[in-house]
Amino acid sequence: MAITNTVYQSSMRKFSQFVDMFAYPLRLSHYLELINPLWTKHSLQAKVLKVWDETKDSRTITLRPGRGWRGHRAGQYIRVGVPIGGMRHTRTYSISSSPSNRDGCISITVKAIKGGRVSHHLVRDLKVGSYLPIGDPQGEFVLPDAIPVRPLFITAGSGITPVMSMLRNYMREYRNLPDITHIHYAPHVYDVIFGKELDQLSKSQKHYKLNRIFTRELGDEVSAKLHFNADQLDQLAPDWREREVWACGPATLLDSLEEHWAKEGLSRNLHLERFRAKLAEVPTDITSGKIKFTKSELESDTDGVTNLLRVAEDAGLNPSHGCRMGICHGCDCTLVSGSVRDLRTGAITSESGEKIQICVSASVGDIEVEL
Amino acid sequence: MNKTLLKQEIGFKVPLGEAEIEEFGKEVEEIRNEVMDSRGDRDAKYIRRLIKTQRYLALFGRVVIFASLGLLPEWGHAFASYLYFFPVISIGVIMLASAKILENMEIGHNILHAQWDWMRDPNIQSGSWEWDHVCPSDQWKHSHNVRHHTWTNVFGKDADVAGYGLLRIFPEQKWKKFNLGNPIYALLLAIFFEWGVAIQELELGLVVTGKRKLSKMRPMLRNTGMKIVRQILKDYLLFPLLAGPFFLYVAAANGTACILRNLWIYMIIFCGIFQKEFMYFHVSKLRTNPERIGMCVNF
Repeated sequence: MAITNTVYQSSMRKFSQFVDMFAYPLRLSHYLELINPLWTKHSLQAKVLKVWDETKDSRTITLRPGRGWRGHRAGQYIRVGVPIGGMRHTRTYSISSSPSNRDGCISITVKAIKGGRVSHHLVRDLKVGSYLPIGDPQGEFVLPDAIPVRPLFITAGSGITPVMSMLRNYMREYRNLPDITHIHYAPHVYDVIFGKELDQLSKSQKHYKLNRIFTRELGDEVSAKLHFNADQLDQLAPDWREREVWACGPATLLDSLEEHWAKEGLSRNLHLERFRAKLAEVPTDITSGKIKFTKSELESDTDGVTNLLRVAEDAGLNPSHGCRMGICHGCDCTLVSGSVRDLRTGAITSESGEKIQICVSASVGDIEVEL
Repeated sequence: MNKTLLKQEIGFKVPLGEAEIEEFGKEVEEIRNEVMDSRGDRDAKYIRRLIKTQRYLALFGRVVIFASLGLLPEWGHAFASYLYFFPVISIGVIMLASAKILENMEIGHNILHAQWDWMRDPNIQSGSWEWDHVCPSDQWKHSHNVRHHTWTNVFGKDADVAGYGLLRIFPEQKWKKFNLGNPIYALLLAIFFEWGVAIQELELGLVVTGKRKLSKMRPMLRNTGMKIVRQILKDYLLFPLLAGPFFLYVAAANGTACILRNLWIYMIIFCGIFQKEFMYFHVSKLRTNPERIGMCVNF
């Protein structure tokens, strides 16, 4: 069976390569896209089927992924491309739905963060019926497949999303939940994403112990005391040392968890999922810094004035380039991290993954470039 | 520097003085910034719609070409006559030619100029776009973006201005007996323009005269060769084979579409850019910035 399968697959691949020759320099997939964007193979897209407001500032988006989707594991995230003003912004969001959904749909839950253009767009302006480019599922924040575990979930705010996928997956696969302790932090009771569903689970599932902590309910003074601390943990999950932990939430929470578990020498029990929120600070002055060329694994100093093509050449690299004056785009390469300044306009770019013209860009502080 | 001085130094007429050129440069820069700031949804919709239109045109052009084969007299039905066949196949050819023209000039050319890179759509990026043309995109980007646009209209740098090394267009080009064939070369270049572009970029002349070793050319030759093979396979073998006994009709239709596209592009370049009032420069005489700006003003 397995052999016929591979033979079938490889002959199908050969056949589709042959058909693609008719469409060269495009592929058949580019023409299928005209009929239905979900049939494409050259890029993965998803159709927005439904939007559902979870709380006043968060929304669950139900997506139907295209043909290339290969399924996710509970807890994984996807990259989502969000076009705003014609420009694509890529963000990662944890999938909140169970992998075994029969309709083949997935959902992500997005919270509009303060000043977040992309999350605001998704929560407020996204239209049902539109198509979003998505990436393959990624991430190691998953429950082990074979070994049964006694998880302790610690989540805060929209950090509930990957854990929700895990809870839903348990319910789908086994009809009930194993021995789980869950600590969830939210500002107020009405801010709890999936509040009703969690309520129902904690009522109907006797092994599922849900502890909700509303940090802002009693005013600012009390709120600090309600954040994660050792006493609180001992009280809510006295057996925490024997449990394997999956935690997702803001950096401050995850940092204190990391510290606490490290102190007890139990770091390997801890699985963390950090929000990849980009808070790149853009230095205002022209500053010198270090530049890292990620492909060639070289490091060099930059003065923040010299163009990066020159800096790369001085470091012994030979990047492909053409005009050296910002016309031909022959030297375009990807900014991995940090900020660069366009020497012509002074415009600052700090979006990682963006293509930059290195012949007319200088670094602002420390940067990493794919070269 | 006044106008006459400039004229003497560079040996041609510049209509503006230095200060005027500075001023002009600033205004051009302002227009550029205005355009850059106005980019948005409207532009994204435009290019996506254009790409869609082009793909539909290509698809239906080929469908019409194949459908027309059903009107050939061999079939013997009521409409089976060249009287119907030729108009229908012509419609198909024109659709396919339009698709190729749009693909090369409005989509490929602009994408390869990195004009759409700002959208960050990986499917519309200058670095990965391959166009429907026998010259591989990356090599065309070198001859066009680097040589032609960095050295617009400069003799000795920009091959476009020197008639692609084939035609004598301006009095500054030295007259040789070879130039007697100019009208014939021009006609052939117009018909086979895409091949001219692909071959010119290889600069085979340098190999013939021994200035460049053939072994150094190998990667480029392989690249161009592969591109040519795939283009020929598609238009002159695969689609015609699909038509079985009518192989030649389809091959001829595709070939005609390619030639129509070549003629169109040739006309745009030679009639639209190389005019009587056209300004050109000599590389050894370009020294100052205003001169360079003057050089770009003309384009």
